[in-house]
Amino acid sequence: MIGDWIHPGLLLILGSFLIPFFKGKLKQFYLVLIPTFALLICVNLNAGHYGVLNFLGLDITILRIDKLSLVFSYVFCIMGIIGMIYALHVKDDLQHIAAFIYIGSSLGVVFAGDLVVLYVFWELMAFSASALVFARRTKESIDSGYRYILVHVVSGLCLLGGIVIHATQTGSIAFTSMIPYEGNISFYLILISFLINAAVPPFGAWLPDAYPNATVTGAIFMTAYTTKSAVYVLIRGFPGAEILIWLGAIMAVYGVVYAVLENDSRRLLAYHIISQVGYMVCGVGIGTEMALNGATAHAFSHILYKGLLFMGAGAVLYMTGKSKLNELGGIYKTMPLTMVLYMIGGFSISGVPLFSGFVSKSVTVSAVAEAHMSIPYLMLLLASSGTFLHTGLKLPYYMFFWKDSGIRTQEPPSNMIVAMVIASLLCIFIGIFPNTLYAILPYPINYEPYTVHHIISTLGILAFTALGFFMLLSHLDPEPKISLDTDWFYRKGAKLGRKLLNVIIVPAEYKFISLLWKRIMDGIIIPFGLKVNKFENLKVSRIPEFFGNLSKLLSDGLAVFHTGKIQDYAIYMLSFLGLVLLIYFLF
Amino acid sequence: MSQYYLLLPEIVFLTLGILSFCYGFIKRVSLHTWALGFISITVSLIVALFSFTYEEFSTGLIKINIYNQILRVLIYLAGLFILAFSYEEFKKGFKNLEEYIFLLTVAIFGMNIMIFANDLLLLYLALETFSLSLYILAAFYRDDKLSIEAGLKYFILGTVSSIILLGSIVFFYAITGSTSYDSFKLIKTEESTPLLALVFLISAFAFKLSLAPFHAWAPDVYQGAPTPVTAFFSTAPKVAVFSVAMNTLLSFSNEETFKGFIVILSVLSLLVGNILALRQNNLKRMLAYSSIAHAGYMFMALLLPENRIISTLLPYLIVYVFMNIGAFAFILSIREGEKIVSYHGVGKINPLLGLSILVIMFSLTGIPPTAGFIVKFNLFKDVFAVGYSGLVFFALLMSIFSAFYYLRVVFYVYKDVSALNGLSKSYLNQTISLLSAILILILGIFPNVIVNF
Amino acid sequence: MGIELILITLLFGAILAWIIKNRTTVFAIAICSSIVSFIIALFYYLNMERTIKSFQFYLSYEWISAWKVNFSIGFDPINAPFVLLTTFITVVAVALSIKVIKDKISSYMVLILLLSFSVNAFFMSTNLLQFFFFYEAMLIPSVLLIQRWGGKNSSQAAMKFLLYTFSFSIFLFIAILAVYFYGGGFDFESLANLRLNTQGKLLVLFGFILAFFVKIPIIPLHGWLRDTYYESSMPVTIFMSAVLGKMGIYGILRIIPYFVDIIPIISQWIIGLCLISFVYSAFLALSVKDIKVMFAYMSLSHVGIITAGVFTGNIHGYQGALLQSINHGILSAGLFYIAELLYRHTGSFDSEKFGALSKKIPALTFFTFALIMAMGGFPGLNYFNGELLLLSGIFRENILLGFLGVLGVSIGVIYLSWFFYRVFLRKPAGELSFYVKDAISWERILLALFFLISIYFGLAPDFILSGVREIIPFGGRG
Repeated sequence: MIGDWIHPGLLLILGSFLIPFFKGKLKQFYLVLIPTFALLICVNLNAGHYGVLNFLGLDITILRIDKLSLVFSYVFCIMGIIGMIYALHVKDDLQHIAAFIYIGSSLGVVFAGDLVVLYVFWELMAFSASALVFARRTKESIDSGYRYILVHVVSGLCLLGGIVIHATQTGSIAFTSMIPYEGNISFYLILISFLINAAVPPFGAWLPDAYPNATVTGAIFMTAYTTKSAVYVLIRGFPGAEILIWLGAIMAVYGVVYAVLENDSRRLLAYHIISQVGYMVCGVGIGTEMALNGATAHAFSHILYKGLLFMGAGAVLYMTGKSKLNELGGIYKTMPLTMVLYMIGGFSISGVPLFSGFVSKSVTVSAVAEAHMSIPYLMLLLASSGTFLHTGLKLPYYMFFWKDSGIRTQEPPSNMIVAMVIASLLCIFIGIFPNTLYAILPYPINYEPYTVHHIISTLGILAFTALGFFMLLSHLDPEPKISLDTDWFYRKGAKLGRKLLNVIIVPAEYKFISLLWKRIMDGIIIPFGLKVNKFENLKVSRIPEFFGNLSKLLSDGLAVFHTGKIQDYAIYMLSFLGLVLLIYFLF
Repeated sequence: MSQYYLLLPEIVFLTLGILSFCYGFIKRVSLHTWALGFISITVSLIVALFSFTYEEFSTGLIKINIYNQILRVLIYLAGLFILAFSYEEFKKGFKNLEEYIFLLTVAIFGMNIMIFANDLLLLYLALETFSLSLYILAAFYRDDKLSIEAGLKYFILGTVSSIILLGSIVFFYAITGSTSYDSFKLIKTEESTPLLALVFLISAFAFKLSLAPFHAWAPDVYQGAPTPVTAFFSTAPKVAVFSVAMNTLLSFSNEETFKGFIVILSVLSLLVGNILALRQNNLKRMLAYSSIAHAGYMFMALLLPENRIISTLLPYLIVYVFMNIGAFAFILSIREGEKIVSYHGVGKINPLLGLSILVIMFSLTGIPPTAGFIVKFNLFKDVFAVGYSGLVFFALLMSIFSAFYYLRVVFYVYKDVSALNGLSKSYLNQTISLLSAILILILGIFPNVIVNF
Repeated sequence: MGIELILITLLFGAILAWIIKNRTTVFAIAICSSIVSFIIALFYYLNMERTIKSFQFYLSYEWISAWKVNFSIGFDPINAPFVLLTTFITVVAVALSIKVIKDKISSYMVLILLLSFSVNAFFMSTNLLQFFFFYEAMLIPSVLLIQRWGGKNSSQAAMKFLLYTFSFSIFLFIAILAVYFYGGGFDFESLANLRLNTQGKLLVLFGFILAFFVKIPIIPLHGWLRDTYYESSMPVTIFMSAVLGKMGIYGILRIIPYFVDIIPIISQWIIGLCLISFVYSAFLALSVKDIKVMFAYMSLSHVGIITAGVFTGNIHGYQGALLQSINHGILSAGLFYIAELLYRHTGSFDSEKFGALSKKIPALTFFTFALIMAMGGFPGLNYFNGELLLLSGIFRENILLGFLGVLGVSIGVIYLSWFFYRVFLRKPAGELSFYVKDAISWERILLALFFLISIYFGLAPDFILSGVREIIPFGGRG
């Protein structure tokens, strides 16, 4: 049986343990080799169920292969290769091991044939990802990584609870659509768990908290796997759940809105992940074949171009040590190649024709339109505009152009360049030959992205956005603080919105996790714990004392009789006798 | 066989006792006296063992069966150990060792006669014989106020109980016209007079056994008397009186009211004994209350049908005697052993002594693997089987208290402070203590020997 | 010769250790005898047939013929894992005491070996009298161990422990007497023949439950736990946490199959009580700063959910309880060991005074992390399997109770990770962090052993569980 299949995820996980034993060039070769192997295996896998084991009396399926899981596995493996190439220069073995396990467990999630296997790999993913955050080893990273673990453990517990209840009620642990069980508590628990991982608001604040705090190379991996595997499980488990449409649309706008206020390049990109995932979630919510295709396709290309964008921003961070936009600028002269490659990513995400984002995003948006949901459609369009504004225009402008910040540096190391080049090539390739992507989508698709109508509408939006951007350029200068008083653009906009953003939501968002966490912990859990402690010390430990005192009381009471006087003793004896006789004679 | 042959050990014992008293009275060398006393007990013990017979035999006044003989041997053994204890006490140069030994002799003699008695008058005679000796023995330290007080109290209250006993004998005679035990079978117990007689009889026994509420003399007397004498009080008379109780009360074992009376006495003794022992700091007093409690446990055995009484009571008596001997030997091995604070740190100085008191105390509580657990289990099992489950539960509840006061001693012994008083130089006492402990342990692990009656 | 060899080696070691007073020799004897007994136990464990219902390697010696009771011991799939656990923990405790105990070594070793002897005999007994005999007999060595080598209040703690356990064992006493009388004998099978009506059977069951609940312990009978664990020396604490509580759980595991018909009457209440105990002590663990106390409450907490599992009346809960007892024994022994390592050079258990230890003592950090992950229920490690089984059993019974269980599990993860964070990761190092030293070589091996066992049980729980399903007459599908 083993010969029929090798689980690519397990290959990566087990392979990670061997990493410390290699050195130098051999290690670099090994690091790229294993994901490549994994990709080859994925390409060669046939559809079906494999790896059925009997564990604790349950039949679990480790590998379930069909088009949906395959397409995700391809992109996961490809991103793994690219990410590994990008990270070749890293000397810290922990990051490599964590990355391998992370990728491997995501593959495990994608291929999971039932809920138990899903859960196991889900937890593995959470821990390995947090290790990637920890790996940066600064104080913020450690705190941030800690919050990451806690959020994902909660997600895991929700999932576990949901799985157990579901299994108890239905008797099966098969991982298929949960829609028939809508309204059940297991439905909601599992949904919440998936939504947490997909960074859907209001559960998603962990993402912009953790990603910028990961290492340069670690962030690349993180952008790809947690959220996209969450999208996969949403496609698998909740296709057509209506609430997802709205959540997705809100997400899309939400991410963009918050990106407006961001100063840190990587955090800005992190918010954009939320926005893009919103498209996918919305597509899952629609539930038609085209929508699901759209979500999948978008996931595929998003991994690539988001990875590319993070690689670019990461390269800048790596070479200059800075990621805050107000501190950057004018480095296009010294890092031209990086700038070009970054722009490719920027164009992809914005949906510029000839790039991958165009062919994937439009599938989703068209599916929304076809389902006649006008408001989500508009929200998605708005988000597109915002995306282009920030990722395609604002970010590269302030990062590479703008003023001269005095930074002189050079191009990043060759491995990073190579990785970015590969990613860019893939983006362009998919953009030009969309059918290669469409062929591997789970459902048959008959979509032609390059219609005249479509190209013109897209270009129109892009043009207007660019116009707006350049007109208001001077007012969009990033500042290190968040205060917006001097910003004319936002005064023109909804004053209320600005006040809201500035006063309540902005600080709340930034410290959202820690505040919420603190609120729950300090307000509820810890005081409860302390109350319990007090109760315990006060009441419960007094129980033995109480009994001791009772016994002493009894003892002293009886001792009163023992006066030491003979007369008393004799009286006791005789009166008892008399009493007994009296009782006997009376009855 | 003639009855004199059966009583041969007693006759030998008494003769040797009188002879050694005369010798000692003349010579007044304590070592000799002690040796003579020792020899006389040992000889009688051997004679008793040799004259062991499996047949039952009874004449008008005497009745002998296996159980009586076993108990006789037990009393001799107890006497032997007491004598061994006394050696150390009297080595300090106390006078009147000869009187002491003679009194012991008379007491043991009286007890043994009482065991074999088949007639109420003989019972009374023997009882008075040994009681009088006990009264004097209690007051033996004439210079100690507590000792004299003990003797006096015992005497006066003991006289009261003797009167009650006489009253019961009178009633029995009035009903049956004879004072022999055999006439008990003829009594119809529906009328009031037999009931009266029975109640009086049991009360007299209860006094000697220190069952509540006839127990009040016990703590004061036990505390005041010299320690070896206390050891004697807590072991031998109980054996003797229980034997008598078995002999007399077996015929009435189907009586309901009689059983109710027994239950009341047991419950009260358990209550009083266990609860009052909690506050004692004087170990002799504590052991007094402990023996009240144990008498309560043993008394429950009289609720059982005939054949079971013996099989439960006998092992319990044997183990009880050895537990008490061991405990008192322990007290004697420590200087000022009465106060519980003297026990600090003994475990470090002499680990074997610590081990012995450990075993003995756990045995008194009733925790395996000691013999105390086995006999208690035996008893409770049978009492439960005849339906007194509530009583068993109560008894167990009371034994929880006993865990506290017995094991407090153990904790003191093993505390990590240096000993205040140190040990007295009596290796004999320590050895006796250790031997009892080992015996209890062995009987606890391999109880087949004693449980198979 | 059969499984009594386990007992004989321990006894022999105890006797030898008593006679010889030389420190090194005593250690050598104790270690040898505990390791030998463990190997023998392992040998018989592996050779045990998993599908036979009755006892195997059965040995019976005449003991008390008047009561028709023999000294009989045997293995079956339920008690064998416990014996294995006990012998293993004995090895760990003896190994640790080499470093911890400074004086009165020989009596210490004697007492530990005797304690192990009685606990093993308890697990291996096949009749109720022997069961009770050793249940009480282990009180003597454990009380002495607590009192003589304990902290300041050790006498009080030991007395509390003794009184609590002894007081409630009277219920066990009466229950056994009732079984003897109404069931006709002292064997476990007499439990099946009880000539009582439902109420009577319930009373008997309650007798058993009360006694065992003190041992485990379950709120509100847990008053002895904190002081006893805190005051005793660490090897004793490890033994108590890993093994003694399991005595109570084993007792319930043993008798529950005979009371299957009346369990549904009371199961919800009892499970509720156990789960309340679980959550209550989880909160307690959250609120204390002292590491040893926190681990004590953690122990209290986890045995709560294990006991809840036994009462679910279905096979998942039962299996889960059996498996989780063993897992919990291993993990809590490991965690207490780590607490001891923190204490060793600093003399304090206060978690506030530690911090930023991850760089200083990498090996210990790694193992702590591994054990904490295991205890938090990380899949692939042993605790996860047990939790899964227990939770499915409890959810089957009642969904609300299941949520209580999940709540307790999450609080458990919280305080465990908090402990890890406070002691190892938090940046400003505390005042005592300087003194902490890493585990030495053989201790690392021991910790690695814990970890490996954890992984092994995580991946192959059938090592413990196979065959249990066939012999237990419960319902419940897989």
